[in-house]
Amino acid sequence: MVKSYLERSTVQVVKRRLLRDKVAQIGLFTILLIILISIFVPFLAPYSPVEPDYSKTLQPPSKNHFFGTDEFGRDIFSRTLYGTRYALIVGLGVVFLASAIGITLGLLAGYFGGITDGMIMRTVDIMMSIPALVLAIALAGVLGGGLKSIIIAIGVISWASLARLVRGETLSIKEEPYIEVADSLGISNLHIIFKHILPNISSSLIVYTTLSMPDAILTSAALSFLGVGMQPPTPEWGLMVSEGRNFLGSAWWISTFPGLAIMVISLTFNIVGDALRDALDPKLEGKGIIN
Amino acid sequence: MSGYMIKRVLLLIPIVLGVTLIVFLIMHLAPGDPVRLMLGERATPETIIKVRHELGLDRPVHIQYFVWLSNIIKGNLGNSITTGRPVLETIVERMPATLELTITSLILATIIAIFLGSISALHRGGWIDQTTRLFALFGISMPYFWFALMLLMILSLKLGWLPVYGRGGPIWTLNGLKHAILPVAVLSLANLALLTRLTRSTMLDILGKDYIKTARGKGLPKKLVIYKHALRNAIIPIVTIVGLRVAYTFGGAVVTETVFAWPGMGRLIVEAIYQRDIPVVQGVTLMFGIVVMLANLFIDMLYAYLDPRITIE
Repeated sequence: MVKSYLERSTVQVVKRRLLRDKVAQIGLFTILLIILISIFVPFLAPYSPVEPDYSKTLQPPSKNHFFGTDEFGRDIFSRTLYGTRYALIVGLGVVFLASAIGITLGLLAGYFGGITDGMIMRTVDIMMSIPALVLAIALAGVLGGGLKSIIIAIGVISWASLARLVRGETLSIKEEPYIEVADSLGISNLHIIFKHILPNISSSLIVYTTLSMPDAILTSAALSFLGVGMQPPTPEWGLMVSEGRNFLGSAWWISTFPGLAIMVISLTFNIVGDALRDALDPKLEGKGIIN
Repeated sequence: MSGYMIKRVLLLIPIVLGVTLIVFLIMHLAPGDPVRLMLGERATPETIIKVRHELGLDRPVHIQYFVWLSNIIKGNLGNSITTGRPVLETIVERMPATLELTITSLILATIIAIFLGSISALHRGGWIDQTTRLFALFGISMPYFWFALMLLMILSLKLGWLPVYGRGGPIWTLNGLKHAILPVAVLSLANLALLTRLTRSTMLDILGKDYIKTARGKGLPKKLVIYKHALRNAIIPIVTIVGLRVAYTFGGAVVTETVFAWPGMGRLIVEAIYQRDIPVVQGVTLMFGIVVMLANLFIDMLYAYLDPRITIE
């Protein structure tokens, strides 16, 4: 029972700190709004995101088309709204995949040490030597684009820094007396790792994963922008920015609005991540976004 | 110092081997037949078998890897499928443009970040601090391919102040500099934002330390304490992060080069992906890995120079 009391109190402390932070509240509200938009977008979008309308090509922003239309007469506002779906799905998918790999390997390396640690950390060194984006482009390129390819390509390349973080935290928690006691009582290694170590590093993990969301979204948009991610006519933001490239001089709105959307979503997650870090674990400053 | 460096260089060997393995596996575990992709739909089965044999693709995977590896050690990265030229030759040709872009942007970002971050920390809570923090937050959230297009649209297309794309020669010539301004600015933004935040928090941390209070308390001038005691100690974590950002910067160069039609390795790999030119993709990825490792080696040397306590276990 003591444990649940402690958990509740931590949650309460964090909640109180977040509620005091005005900027964090705006951030949380915006995330909620983005989630709602992505769910209810078929009811919110005034036009189809993919159906061309050749009578209305390249129209500037107006009352009928808030963000204007593209070369096929598609409504940029509707397409931008639909884009939240891809950004959220890719962001969550990548963070989930990278966390599953990074947390597991980090825990194993930190807890068992020795050869396990050596092999995992050398793999981390190798992963960190190749520019992640180059590897993601190559991987997404050979996998052939599409939602699944993007998630796999970015997910399997972005676990290394998380593994390093988890390993470090595991190493320090391993030395705590209660872990030694658990070990001497004959409790299995897996039980110790997942029931005693993992919960104790969860606050770092929450901060890290929140701050990884914007990275994942920016990288996936970059892949689509470069042509190895989502394929036309998908209303994906990176792809939309790229489609407006040839019209920069004549129809500025095609590239501008989807790009703004990417910035808003990534700014929002960064703000909330920063606030969570301040509330949960101030010593983490500057860690999540280093890569 | 020299013993440290020798150990450091020897430690690179297993990592280089690991990088070659990853690059090799990516291209060989991919779904689809690379030969069919290379030759297109209309290739006859006989041609496919012939080409597969010529490329050694009919042999077991581990043999293929060792053949490929021994070729790399001899400096043979294969020939481009589209142009038929040796891959290494193309890379050597493209390398200077990429190095020019990345090195300039890293140095510039680091210097400005140390300056901005320190000022921000010294005037904590003031308007300079608030502005800098806001700028840094926007900087890390910016999709830089979009930032590049916006700069291009406003500064080059609308106002006509800067050239639209391409490289105008080496950066130290006037034309070269003009062409490099936008790409360098775009590539520097994320690092500048991140390093500014880091410098600020590190400086705040150090300025609260006892030895700083002691130094000030015994009457040393403020400027001396800031530059000699605080900044000198803040440089070490900053250099560490700069080292970690090298790989990221080369990744950013791929996007930047594509937007500005900058004739470097980044644009080369994107073109090669479009054309399914596997030898070029492998060669460039490997070369990116090697360049990043060499850059990190250099950073480690700098690190050992800045912090005499550093040795290797």
